[in-house]
Amino acid sequence: MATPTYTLIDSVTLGSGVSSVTFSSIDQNFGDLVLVGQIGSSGGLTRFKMRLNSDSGTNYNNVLMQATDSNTIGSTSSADGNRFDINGGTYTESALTSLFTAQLMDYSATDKHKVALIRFNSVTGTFAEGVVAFAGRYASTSAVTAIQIYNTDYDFLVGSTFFLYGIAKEL
Amino acid sequence: MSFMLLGILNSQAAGGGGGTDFDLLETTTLATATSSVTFSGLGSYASEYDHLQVRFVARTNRGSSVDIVIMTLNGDTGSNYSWHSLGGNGGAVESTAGSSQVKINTVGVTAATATGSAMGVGVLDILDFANTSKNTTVRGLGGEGRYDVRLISGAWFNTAAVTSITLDQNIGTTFNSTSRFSLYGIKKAV
Repeated sequence: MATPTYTLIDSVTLGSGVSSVTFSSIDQNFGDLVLVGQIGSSGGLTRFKMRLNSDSGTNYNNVLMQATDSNTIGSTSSADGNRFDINGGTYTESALTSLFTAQLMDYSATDKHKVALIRFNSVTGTFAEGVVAFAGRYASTSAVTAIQIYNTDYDFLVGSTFFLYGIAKEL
Repeated sequence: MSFMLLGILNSQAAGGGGGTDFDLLETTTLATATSSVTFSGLGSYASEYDHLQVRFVARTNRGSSVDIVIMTLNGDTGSNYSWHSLGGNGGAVESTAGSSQVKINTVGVTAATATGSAMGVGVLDILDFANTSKNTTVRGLGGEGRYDVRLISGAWFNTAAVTSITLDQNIGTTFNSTSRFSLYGIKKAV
């Protein structure tokens, strides 16, 4: 018997500028989470980051590949950082033209580290653009109960949207 | 998952009145190390679903930090596959490909020398899996979060409907226990 899934857990549409959005007390009855965002930044160059369980310890590993508007491709990685770097490099998102999809697999498991797969792209037409594929490992076996997305330098634009979905793994 | 597909899924999730058109069909969570995982009997899903998605969290016993999950369809081990991969390893972006292959190389997962609880993950889409007028294509995104992130595409040069999907290791011989493989269906239009 099939189980309908891809269930909307929560969503946020910003009515005022804030630098951080947190989904907390996340339902633990799914296998994977998918967080979809359409975002922009109130200022110039900025970076978007993610933390889990409000953990700012050095428990995050990152690897990504990206292409930018200067016809440059590259791959970077880091170990033992204190967050996931969603867009890796520095981009300008002065309109609601940055999109990301983050997949957090087996988020409620307590016997394995958590891996996030993130696709990010930014298209401004005027400033820097980029497309990123990212994988990050959160070196903790704790179940993920909270996800924070934050803007390091400015606020997210009014109208930025964030949708959190759950995907079942048990019939 | 493609943005186009996500757009469809998002609209369904937001407006479906509590239902969605993305269904969990099967899950295998390994209790012991296992050489391969097969989803079979997929013909029974053909009347209700157009596309399939495999989502996995896995680790292999290869004596290295990373291994690749490979895919074969309908038990075909002939040289009937091709694949492309765009991968980042933290130092460079690399493109690799194979034609007339006996399997599709998909995405990287962790292996024996990786940190103990570290797993790799992948999301693979098998499009129009039951269509008998065209070859079957696969696309995916995966990685292990430190040394490997990868976008892939693959093709099976056979117009038969896909009735089974087998996932294996490229170099290792088993998937570790606790590895999890789930199969989802995306419904046909009504």
